[in-house]
Amino acid sequence: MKLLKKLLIFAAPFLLLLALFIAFEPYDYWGLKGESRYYARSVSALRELLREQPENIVLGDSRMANFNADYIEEQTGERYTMLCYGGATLNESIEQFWFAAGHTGLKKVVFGLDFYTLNDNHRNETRFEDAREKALEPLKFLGNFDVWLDAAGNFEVAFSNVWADITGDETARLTVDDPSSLEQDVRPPDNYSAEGYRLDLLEYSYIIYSQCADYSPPLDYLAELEEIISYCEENGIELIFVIPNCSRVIWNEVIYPLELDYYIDIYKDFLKSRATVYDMEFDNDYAANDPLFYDGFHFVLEEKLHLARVIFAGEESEYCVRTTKEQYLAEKAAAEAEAEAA
Amino acid sequence: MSFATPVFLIFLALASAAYLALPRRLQAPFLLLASLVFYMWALPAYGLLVLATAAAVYFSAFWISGALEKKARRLRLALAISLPLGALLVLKYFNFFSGIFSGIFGLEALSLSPLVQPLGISFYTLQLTGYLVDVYGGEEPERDFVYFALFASFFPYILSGPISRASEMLPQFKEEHRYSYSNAAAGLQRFLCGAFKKLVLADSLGLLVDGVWADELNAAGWPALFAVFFYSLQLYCDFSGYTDMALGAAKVLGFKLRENFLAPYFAFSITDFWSRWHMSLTSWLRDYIYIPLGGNRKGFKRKLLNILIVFAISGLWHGAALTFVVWGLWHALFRLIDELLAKKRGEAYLRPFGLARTLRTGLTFILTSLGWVLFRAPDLSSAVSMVSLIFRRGVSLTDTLTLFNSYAAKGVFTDEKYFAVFWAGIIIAMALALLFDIRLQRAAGASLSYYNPLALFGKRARWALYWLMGLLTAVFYLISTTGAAASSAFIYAGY
Repeated sequence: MKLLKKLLIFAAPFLLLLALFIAFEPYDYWGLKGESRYYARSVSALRELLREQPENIVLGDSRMANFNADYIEEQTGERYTMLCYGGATLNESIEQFWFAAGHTGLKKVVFGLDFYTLNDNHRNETRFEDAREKALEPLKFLGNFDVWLDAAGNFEVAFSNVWADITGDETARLTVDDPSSLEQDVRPPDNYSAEGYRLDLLEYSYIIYSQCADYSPPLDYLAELEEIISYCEENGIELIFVIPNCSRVIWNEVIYPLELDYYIDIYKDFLKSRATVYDMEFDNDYAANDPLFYDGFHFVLEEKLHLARVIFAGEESEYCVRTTKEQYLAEKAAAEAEAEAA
Repeated sequence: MSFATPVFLIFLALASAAYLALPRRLQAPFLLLASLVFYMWALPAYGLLVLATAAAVYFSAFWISGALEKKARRLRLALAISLPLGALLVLKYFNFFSGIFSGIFGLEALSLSPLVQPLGISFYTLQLTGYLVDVYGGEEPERDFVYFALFASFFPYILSGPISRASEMLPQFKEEHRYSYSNAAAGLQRFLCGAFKKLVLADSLGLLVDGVWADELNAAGWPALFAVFFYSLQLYCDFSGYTDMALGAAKVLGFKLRENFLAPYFAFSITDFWSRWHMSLTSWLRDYIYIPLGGNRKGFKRKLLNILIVFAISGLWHGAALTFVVWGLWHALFRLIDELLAKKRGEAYLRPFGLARTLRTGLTFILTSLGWVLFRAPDLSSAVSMVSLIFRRGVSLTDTLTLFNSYAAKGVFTDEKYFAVFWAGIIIAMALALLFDIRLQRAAGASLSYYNPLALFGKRARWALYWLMGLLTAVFYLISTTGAAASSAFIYAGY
């Protein structure tokens, strides 16, 4: 008893530290807080899936992650678990799908992808195993220094904001970036270059260009997506591929110069002839409407809400072409017959 | 299973609780089972090898003690020793000697996979060989195989010592052990000291040392100097940290193991150094190599030769590479110089004090640190290169700090403010390690009794140290398991 008592006294500060950690860790690992930080979604989404056992999931990168799950539920009455997160590669999304399929009874999957993620050259880029380990093994999560640093960072934000509230010093207030938040609205600045593009859109396109310069046709990716499509068909899971649009500056500065439009046609044909696709990726008026875009890929708040209604609540939009496999194949057959006749 | 992991703590807690609660007749078998589980955690085949070796030695001991004539006993001893030593030679030294052989005769070298070398083989081989020699010398062989197998495989010491004697351990294994608060408290205190030295100091310094060795272009001047100095500290904290954990774990169970270190960097000569560093090995070499060779009983020149042989064997024991042999001879050289100077100057040389002692302590530290470069280097030319880099003009002291921060940052720190935590931890750990050794130096004197630095502090200071050391150990454990930080394996586990 004496040893146990002394061990408890020894452990007291560490238990306090653990309590602080649980209070401030940004992953909402144990579901005690109800929300996690945007940057922690790669792990917190998996934990949410394990806890909630959702029927509906959303996969993809930041372009899907920027939709607000509460807003979607408000519009559709359906709860989606957002497995998507900023910077997710298609590899990670595919692995997340199989993780979800193995851990919950799926009914609907909304899978976001586009020319940027469908690049076979990035097929080996995945942090999923790290996220999976942390999600499935609490000891590994607790034993990870980066996680503790994240908790310390979150504590710093909370402390600074409490300090700002007490002292009224707004400069002390720290905000944490969350593009999916309904409170944070980012507006594009008013810089226009001579070509009619916003200067920041142009600069953004240079970054995207450098990352797409080594583009490799997505043959392996398409094979893996075919597996997902077959699995969903066999198990009665509604699968929808969403291909968001990008700014015209991306079309003009990245897609056309690198001749990626050729591959865009190929993967669209592949997906549309096998599954339901919501296709928005066209070089049209929508893409040319600069104020819709925060940067070349991401949208301002109003447009995010609009797109959420289009994708999830079925709101009509002339810029979103919805096709099912049957419709597309029938249209394709009719077009081919017409071309032959001509 | 490494000592410096939460898994081992859980293992120790469960094994101790079960062992101390079992009836006496079940304690040794249970401890043997636990030891085998511990040892086979990495690779089950390891356990089979140690059991097979123990069985061979067990039966050989009876065979030796059965011989009545001295000549027959000696022959049987030679044959019996060839079993454990033969296994060691094949598994550890095959590639080394094959390389030398092929170099001499111009043949293609044969090699065994390095994965074949079991952990701790160098340590338990010496223990078992010593046992055979003891039996040859008249000791009764142990009749109970369970106790003997436990002596061969006891988990606190099987991986990296201390090298224990059958006469010390077998009686302890046969005693009944019950829970004792003083044993548990002292054992856990000692364990904490070891974990602290290993995880906070050894592993952190390892990041910096590895960084310098991997970045020779930037190593000239201060970085090389610090790398040599830091490696001395790293090796000491790694090995003595392991020893503290081993002794602490054994103490919790109620066992007393040999001490291995007594503030070695306070040694005033190489001779004194070897009475403080890896003491269990030194005493083994003295009792089983040096004395059988004649020790100092066959004249001064023979004594010098015996010392040379012992250090050459010590070097080779540490590693199957030329660098270790040269390291052994490096120490032999200064050991021999000590003998010559002691013969010439007498008592004054053997018991320096005041400024002379301080200067000689500093010189001894420099000599041992230079010797450790051979330990760290992959080959002789790299060792020479690193030492020569100390004397070349290189980056400034502030740039050296920037360089070290970049080594520490690899995969671990992304924000500069956390470097402050890292350096604060290292400085605090160095200060504590120095304080502990100073206190031990004063308290222990010539007595090789149980050393527990934490027991030398008053209650309030002790609790403050528990929390400070515990917190730093936990933080640095997290660092060691995250990103591309240095591995937390023990350096001496490779020998």
